Amino acid sequence: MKKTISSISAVVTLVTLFMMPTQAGAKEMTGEEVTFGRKLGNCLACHMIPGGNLPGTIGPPLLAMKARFPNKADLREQIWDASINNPHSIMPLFGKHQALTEKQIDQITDFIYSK
Amino acid sequence: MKKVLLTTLTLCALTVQANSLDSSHNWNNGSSDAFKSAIKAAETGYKANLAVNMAWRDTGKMIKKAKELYKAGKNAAAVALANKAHKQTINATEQTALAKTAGPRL
Amino acid sequence: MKKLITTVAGLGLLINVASADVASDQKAFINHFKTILPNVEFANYTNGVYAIDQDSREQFEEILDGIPPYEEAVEKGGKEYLKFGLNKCTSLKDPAAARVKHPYFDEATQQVVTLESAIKKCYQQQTGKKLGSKKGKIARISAWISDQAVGQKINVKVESAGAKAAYEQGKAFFYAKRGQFNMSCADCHVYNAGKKARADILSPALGHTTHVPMYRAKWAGMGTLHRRYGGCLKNMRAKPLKAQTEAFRNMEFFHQAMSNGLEITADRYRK
Repeated sequence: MKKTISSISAVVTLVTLFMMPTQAGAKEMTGEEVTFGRKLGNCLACHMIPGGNLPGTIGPPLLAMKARFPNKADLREQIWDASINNPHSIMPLFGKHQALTEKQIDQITDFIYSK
Repeated sequence: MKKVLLTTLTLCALTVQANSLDSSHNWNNGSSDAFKSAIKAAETGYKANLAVNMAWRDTGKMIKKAKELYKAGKNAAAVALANKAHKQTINATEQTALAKTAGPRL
Repeated sequence: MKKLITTVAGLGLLINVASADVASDQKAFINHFKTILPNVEFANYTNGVYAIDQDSREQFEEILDGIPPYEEAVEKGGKEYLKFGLNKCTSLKDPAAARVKHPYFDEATQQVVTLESAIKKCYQQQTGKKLGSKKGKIARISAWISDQAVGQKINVKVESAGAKAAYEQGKAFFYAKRGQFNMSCADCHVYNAGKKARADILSPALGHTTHVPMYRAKWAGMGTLHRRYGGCLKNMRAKPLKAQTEAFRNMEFFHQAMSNGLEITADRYRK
């Protein structure tokens, strides 16, 4: 009996440990929410994206991304550190400057790549 | 067997944790030494950024919050946040270097 | 004696070089805007985004045709100008001249003196009290003073080596990327002016200083140019500097010089 309790508590501890890194955002957000959220990616501030309202016109529309980025990792890199491709770019360095988490960048990459 | 499994899982979990922290510092174990070196690095960097008007908006708040966490005994979280603040100052210092040659491209 | 002549000649040369640089900087600046916004007349840059977008322009005109939300504040600023004895300071006794004279580089202190820094100094001399730098009284008084110079042109002079150094520092601040978002003032207000961030049109830096202090709908009140600088820095996730701090005064020196030749306007409403 005692053994069972200790096993259960061990499992609970483990589950908690695994969950903690994602806990920052409380409940799981979708890729769309991370991409459109004004305090997150806020990608619509500058880019037209299918399904998003009131887009800005500063950056190029995010369309046909698979054709523009045959290698998905290149798209992720552009979001992570736009200065690699163009040091003068106005685009924030979301990954390098830790404005978003690695996971959020993955979510945005996936979402944008589907457009 | 069960013990081995548990240990492995625990190690895995801890690795996931550690990876989500910043690695700009030496290995942190949440000890008070780790906190002191992390917060010192953050404060030194922030002071240098402030002196050249290149500090970031949230670095000061992060340093303050890290100290509060440390006082509350939440060492691991305090170290993680201090490291994040330090990372901000490193990036701001990089910007400072680039700012020296900034000018119009018209 | 010969040495003296050489020195004087050298200084003369420096002065000429300084003004020539500002003039050529501004020429390139104006040409850039001509390229990206070919339909906007130079004189119309006093109207900012309202010179660019027809719909916004119509809303703007409606607001100006009614009772503009800043009208009362500016009037009050005029009363405060007298009430606090600001007409007794040499720097402000002729308000129209004061607006056109500032910002200027003061050789004695080797500092840029802005209109607001002159108002603050005078206010303290007259009342023994300190005046803020961002909103309220200082914005009202400064707006009223600026209203007295409506129709006159911005004419910032950068003539000495010290002035040139301050101007260059301000220019560097304007073009340098900063903050967690890694943006410069120029990223939005030069290179992307006229484009939209969400539904907001990015205003052109050319003409920015012709209508300050301004009333902003977002503030629901008046604010100075340096209040806006602080807000912009926060948007870039950079730590805002204090209003009227040296770096901001130097940037204003550069920023105003880029609008040389544009008319000061009383239409101080912005979104």
